[in-house]
Amino acid sequence: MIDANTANAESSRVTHSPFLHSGYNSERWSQQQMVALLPGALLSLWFFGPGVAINIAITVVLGLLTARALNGMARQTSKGADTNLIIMAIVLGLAIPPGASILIPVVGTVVMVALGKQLWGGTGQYPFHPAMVAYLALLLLFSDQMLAWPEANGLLQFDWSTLANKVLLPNPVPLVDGLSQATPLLDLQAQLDSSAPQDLLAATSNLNTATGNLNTATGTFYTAAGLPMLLINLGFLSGGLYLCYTRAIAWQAPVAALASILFCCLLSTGFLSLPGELLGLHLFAGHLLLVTFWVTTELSSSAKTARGRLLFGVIFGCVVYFIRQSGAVPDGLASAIIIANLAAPLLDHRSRVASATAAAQAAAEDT
Amino acid sequence: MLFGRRHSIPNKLRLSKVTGGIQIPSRKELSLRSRIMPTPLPAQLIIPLQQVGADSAIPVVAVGDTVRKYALLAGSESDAVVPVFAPASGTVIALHQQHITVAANRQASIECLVLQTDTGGDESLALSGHDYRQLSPEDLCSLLASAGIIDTETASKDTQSLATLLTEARKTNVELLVINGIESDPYMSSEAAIAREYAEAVIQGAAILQVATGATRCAIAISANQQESRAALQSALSGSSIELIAAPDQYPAHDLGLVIGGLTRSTPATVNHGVNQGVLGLAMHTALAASERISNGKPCTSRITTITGMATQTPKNFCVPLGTPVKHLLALCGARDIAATTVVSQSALNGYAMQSLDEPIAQWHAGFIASAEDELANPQEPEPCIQCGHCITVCPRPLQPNQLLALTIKRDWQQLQQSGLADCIECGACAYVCPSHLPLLQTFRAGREELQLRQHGMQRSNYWQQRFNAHQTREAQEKTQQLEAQRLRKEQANAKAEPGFSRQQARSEIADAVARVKARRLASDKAATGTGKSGHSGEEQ
Repeated sequence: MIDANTANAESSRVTHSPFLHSGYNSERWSQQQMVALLPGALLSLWFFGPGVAINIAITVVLGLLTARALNGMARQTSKGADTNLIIMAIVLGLAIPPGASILIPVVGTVVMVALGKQLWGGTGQYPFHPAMVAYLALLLLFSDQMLAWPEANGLLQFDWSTLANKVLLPNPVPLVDGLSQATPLLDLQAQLDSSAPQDLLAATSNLNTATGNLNTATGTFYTAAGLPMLLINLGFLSGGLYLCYTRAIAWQAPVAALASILFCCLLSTGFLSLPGELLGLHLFAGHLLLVTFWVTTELSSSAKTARGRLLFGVIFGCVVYFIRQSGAVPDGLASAIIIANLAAPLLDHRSRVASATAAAQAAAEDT
Repeated sequence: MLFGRRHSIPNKLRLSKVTGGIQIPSRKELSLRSRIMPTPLPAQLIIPLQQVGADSAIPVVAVGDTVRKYALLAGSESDAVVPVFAPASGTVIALHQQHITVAANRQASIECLVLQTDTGGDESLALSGHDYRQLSPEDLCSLLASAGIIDTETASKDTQSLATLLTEARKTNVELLVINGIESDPYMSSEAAIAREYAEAVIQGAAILQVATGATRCAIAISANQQESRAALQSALSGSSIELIAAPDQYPAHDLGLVIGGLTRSTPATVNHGVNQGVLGLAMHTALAASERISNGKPCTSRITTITGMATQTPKNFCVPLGTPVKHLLALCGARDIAATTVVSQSALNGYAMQSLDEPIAQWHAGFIASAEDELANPQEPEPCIQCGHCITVCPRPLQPNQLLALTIKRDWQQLQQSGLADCIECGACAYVCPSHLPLLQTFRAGREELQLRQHGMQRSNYWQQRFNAHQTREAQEKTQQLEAQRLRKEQANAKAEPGFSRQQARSEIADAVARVKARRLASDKAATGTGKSGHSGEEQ
């Protein structure tokens, strides 16, 4: 028989329900995210050369170091590396042109971690996506460098001498003139138009004629670069679909974003025909898919309820389309994310109030 | 129903997946391998005289009495008391207070009766059954009410005596009676075992309860993945009007509120025990006990309980006499090294770890998990919330656990009430998926308890406020009445008394008096002129 006393003494260990756990944790979540990023990132590396790897290495390592230092200053103990931060750092690294000076990723990372994340209270507290905040800041600080994307020649034809540019300081941007005007960004856009390389314009001229007023040089992260960008974006698309399939991210925001862009494109042709070229340009010419799958599904800054996520995606998609088509701002994605981030708490709050009221009404009917 | 509004219950009863919910790998097959086993009697039975949610029964036996099986041990005339019967023949050796865990985070000191069981054989009272078709609903109700049956929701969130439920059901017109045999906990299998082995009795019990409650329709709900139990019920149900509902394989599909919400296709509101939206939900155990009571005359003295977990060698379901200590059953299952095992009661998701294995088994105990070393997850150090929103996705209610957690920690009770903490069913799905291992379930339990206390306090303070206000108004009324009465009295007194002072009258009176005095003086002067005129005139001169 069992000795009752020992049984009592031993079984009074403090435990609490639930006694089962799904085993899901943030490490596994970010592992999935990194695996999903791999095809797109590797293709970027292949087409744009080692600059991509250098940028990502700088953003990740410096990001973790900055977070550690700021946590130390705030006397917060952090267990292990902040896995969510690694994903954001990789996204930022991919968004910075590979040929840009290393000063740019360094400044971007510090802005991302310090201003974008830690200043708000760290994990789970920041209202805007830190990588997009950093990207916007870089775009204002180093606008010419941030828009100077090299040709996607592939690693085999890579001109290794251009790597020397990375250690140089960026050329000063003549923003002094621009600032005296009412809309400096318009001036910026005009400058960029005139300074765009001739061969790139030629390469994209067929797209330009198809899209009319869409300015490919300023609309997105990249100039529309044809096949390489298509492949890179297909890499990101496959990663994003994998994330949706494994439920690592919620499908609502990406699907709503892509659907609303499709809707806007159809609207531009009056639903008469499918604007294939326009759609291709929107989806595959820039970093739309990267942002759609990895940024609109970011945990803290985007909506969390199902309905909220759908609306979040719609807001993002529509704002991206309108900024790209008729905006004066040289970048659509980051601004659209920040605008959608602004709406996220309200979207969540509204869906919460709606459901709680419904429950209260049902309860009132019962009594 | 109360306002003459009929709830719409669809003709075809169907349970589809609720929004949210989680899939947990089932471990029911551990205990479903063997059939339900009758328990060899332990040396002593510890029988609590008070059931959860009821008043304490008054013992009708004294220490030293010998009792036979099914004899009444304690009871009362009151409806709020559940009578207690002897699960075995034996001698009453003690009556004392004992600490018993009654809910996940609550222990209560309950009066218990200790019965030394007979070693020779079990001597029972001679009982006779009835055919329920020949009994009136009233007779059925009174027979069932005196059987000491407690209806327990599967996860033991809520228990209530069958007598109370029947009274309530007869007051409100019940449209549908649901026998809830859904068990979504990954370990517990008592209801599946009952359906598999006592399908006939369960169906008879359902029919009895349908007559007793006067429900127009009756259905039995069971988990879709319990193939054997479904098949057994299906074959036993042929030709019966009772319907069979298959519930989706999902946690927490067992929750009565979700079942009723799903069947009536309405928003699942927080459901209390009793009739909700024209539906009465009862446990499968209740149906079995009701059938035993009517067909065989037996009061409720046992229940089917699961003993499972990797620490046991032969996990199975037992037909346990109430009052059997948990460790007796664990020993029967060949639990190894029981000193080092954590024994979890009720559910792996929202149950609780047993503090003492000497505790007796009561009607609300669905089962016990004796876990091996690495079988159950140990609580881990919580990390900050990363706002992933998984808890919102899995919550079976339209709640946002991440927000509720922050609000509970802030103790913002007003906001919590608005955000629907009261709607939480404490299923633990949010804590199961939380990647940061936040103690969501425990926090909500504590928060809900405090919220209830506060609401109770608020009700009490409102009551006293009302009484105070009533007192104030009464006093004010009395005062005005007093003043009114005073005024009336005065008027009456004035009306009776002489007319009061009047200036004119006084003047005329004074004038009269002066005139009289003048007249008198004139008269006396005239008289004086006759006698002393000279003297007077001499003086004058």
